[in-house]
Amino acid sequence: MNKTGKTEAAAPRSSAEWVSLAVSLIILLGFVAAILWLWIHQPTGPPQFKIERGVVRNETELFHLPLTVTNVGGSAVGQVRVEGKLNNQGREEIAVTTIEFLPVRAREEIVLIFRSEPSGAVVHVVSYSQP
Amino acid sequence: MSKNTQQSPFRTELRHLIHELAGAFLFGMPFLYTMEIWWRGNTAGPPRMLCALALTFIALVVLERAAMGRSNRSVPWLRTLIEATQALATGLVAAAVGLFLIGFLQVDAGLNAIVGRLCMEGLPFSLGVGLADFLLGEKEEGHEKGGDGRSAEPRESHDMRERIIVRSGATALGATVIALTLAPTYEIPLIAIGLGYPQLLGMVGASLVISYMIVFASNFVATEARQEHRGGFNAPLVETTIAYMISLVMAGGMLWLYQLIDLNDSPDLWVSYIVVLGLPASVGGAAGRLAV
Repeated sequence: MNKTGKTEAAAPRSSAEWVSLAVSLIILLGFVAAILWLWIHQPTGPPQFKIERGVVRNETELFHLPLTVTNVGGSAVGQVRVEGKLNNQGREEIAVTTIEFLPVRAREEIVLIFRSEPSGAVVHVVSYSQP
Repeated sequence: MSKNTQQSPFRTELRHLIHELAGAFLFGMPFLYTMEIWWRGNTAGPPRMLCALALTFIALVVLERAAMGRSNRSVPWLRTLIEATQALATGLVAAAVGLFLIGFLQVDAGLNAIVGRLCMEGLPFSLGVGLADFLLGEKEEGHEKGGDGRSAEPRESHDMRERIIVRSGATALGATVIALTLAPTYEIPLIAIGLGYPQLLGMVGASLVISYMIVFASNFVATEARQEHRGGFNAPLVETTIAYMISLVMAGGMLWLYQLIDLNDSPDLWVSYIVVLGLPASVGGAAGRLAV
């Protein structure tokens, strides 16, 4: 019994309350549906990486090679070390960077910087940690 | 007849939503600035996410029942479940807004991480909604809904100068309590470096809106009675702006104290760090003003 001597109704009392409930249910059901979708389509196996190259930029005589690294494997990883190797007339040039954290299906944009034109560079992930 | 009794149902529902959102930000803000929670969201699998949602829902049902018992209201179970559902949805939306503001809801993170972060942050934000109903209650149609049934009228002086001093002090104290705990953490630079000027401007706007909501639109205290104290500092928009300035000053002071910013640092760094810490500091300042 409340202070005005009435018991509150079980169902929403006004159209505004019905709208509020409907919007809340849509948000929650959408959220649960997203989780279930992730569960059904959960990637399996060890971490795997897809590396896509962007367009090389020449800035102040240094060549910037943009890369997009995507984790297409089944578990999140940390400290992903990406290394680019370029063989320039017998001299090997190496550029390295580290991605702090890469969850499943996440992608991160990074840039490796070389002294020579890096279109022929070999790029791969050389190490990572499993959090 | 009070103004409340003439309100349209949609206006009443909007006020209730603002009350819940204010509670979510009031209690959830410290957790938003805890990077371990985002990380746990990054690695959480779908079963764990569902578990987090279920546990939050159960906690909300308990809190809603407790709030109803505390205010001596007799409420059917179906209504409790409906209110818990709304509280959970509100908490998730508030968590999404918070994560978006600090730049940790970007598409590049992948759906797994986005949903995981929302689940993990949604937990404290949703509990904030329930706790707001349980601890602070809501003034509605002339009576208290939830809370401990104590009078929610402001207890402060009618002398304007004294009021300004008390409110400024409460803002500074509330902002300091929050800023003290967050200023030395790694989260501040981590969030700040990821935000451009448009996002920082958005954060300034959000800080003002959220602190206004908490003090003047949440119905935690007698909002109308507060707004009736017109003139000078007590005009809601003026008070919100001045309180935000005080919060920024306290945030800057804490950052300097903990050596995160220095006089030799660039203005860009000062601005971004202070605005980022200014968001939780302004929420702390608003909480401080609620207490007076």
